[in-house]
Amino acid sequence: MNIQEIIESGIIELYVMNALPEDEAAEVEALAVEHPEILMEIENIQDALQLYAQAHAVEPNPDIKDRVLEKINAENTSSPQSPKAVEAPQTSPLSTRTPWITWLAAAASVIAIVLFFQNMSHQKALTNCAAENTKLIENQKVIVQLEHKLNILRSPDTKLIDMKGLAIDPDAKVLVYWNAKEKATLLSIQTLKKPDSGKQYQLWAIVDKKPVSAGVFTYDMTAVQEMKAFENAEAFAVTEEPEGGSLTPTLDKMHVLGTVL
Amino acid sequence: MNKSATPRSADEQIIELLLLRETSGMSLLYDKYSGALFGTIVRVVRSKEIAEEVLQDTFTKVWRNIENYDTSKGRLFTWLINIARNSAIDATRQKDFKRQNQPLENVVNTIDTQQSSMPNPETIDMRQLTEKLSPEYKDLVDLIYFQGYTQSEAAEELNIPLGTVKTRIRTAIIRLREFF
Repeated sequence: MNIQEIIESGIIELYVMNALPEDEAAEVEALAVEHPEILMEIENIQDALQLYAQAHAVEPNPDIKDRVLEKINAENTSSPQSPKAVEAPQTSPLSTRTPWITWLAAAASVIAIVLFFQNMSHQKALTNCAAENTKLIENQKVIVQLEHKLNILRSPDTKLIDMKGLAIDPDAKVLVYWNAKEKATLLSIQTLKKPDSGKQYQLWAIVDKKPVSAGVFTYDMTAVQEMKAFENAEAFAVTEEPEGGSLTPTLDKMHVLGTVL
Repeated sequence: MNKSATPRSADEQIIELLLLRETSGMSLLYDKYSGALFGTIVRVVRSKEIAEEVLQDTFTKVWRNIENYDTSKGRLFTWLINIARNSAIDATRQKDFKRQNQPLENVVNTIDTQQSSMPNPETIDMRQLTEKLSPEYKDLVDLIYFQGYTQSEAAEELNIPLGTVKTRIRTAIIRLREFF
């Protein structure tokens, strides 16, 4: 099977939903490491399912949150290994009987204390390592994504759509790099008003004269953001919408518009 | 105005706080995801009381195991919902668990109406949206994603071939991706 066939088989969806047998799940994970397309597919499916789960959210009783926080606070203050290991030899009735056992118990306490502190510092180092590792993996993902974006920007099939400011934001300028062949859409903000609080920008493609959402994007002047891909599009536009985006564009909040030449 | 050159997502900040053992990380995590996780758990255990226990259990496990979350395998929420779903399924396997015979939507609706909090208008929109998935797709997605059926269990439950499970799931998720 080639990558496209794997993506279309439904196996990635089942992987994300945790419904595959272990061996098949491991295969998908291995493929995701090798092929950024698969990793991207996984993330897109995860995002869609996350929204699906959020649409089915049920709010728990408000006091549950306090109970959770109390519980973890309690775990934070009582480290599991500490008191028992140190106290056990001292409270042992054996210690009063013979001097050598007392000496042994004392030595054991010292060792226990040393081991405890050593363990604590190891655990701290381990936590730091885990944090570092998370950062490295994150960086690696960024590089893969940047490479992918660079390839799109360099492709002769990529069209540049220069979206220009409309009446409510005349100085605005947002660029879309659209590649129908590679199915990729990138977006770069040049100038754009800061969105009102609780609002977010959303990109739309006009396909067969109808607006289709290309997703919301963050207000970040430095990033080249990947948006949803389209095979056909006549124009692109950006509107300001409530956070999370809308199903249909709010036309009087359209900031920029550009047609595909 | 956000001046930072590399904006970090809210999830990244939460993970970092959790790794540093900051309780504030848990508070943020809870606010962001408790509703969606509770919705899933309720759909498995079908009892509000048990679901609340499982929800607490889920967040405690997250607190203890945050080091095991691997960003290279995908989103934080996927990891969270897997823990929640597994904890919920475990709860149903405990020997004193009595399966409630109430239909699922009844349980979910009762809990919803019991809560005094105002519904979020955006959530309602989304809910209407998901109703647009025709039943054959919705049932399959809910069985697998919310109730933790494996592909073969789902095939058996719905009496359809394994291959059909794959193609239907693919189509269903494509429709969801178009909506969102």
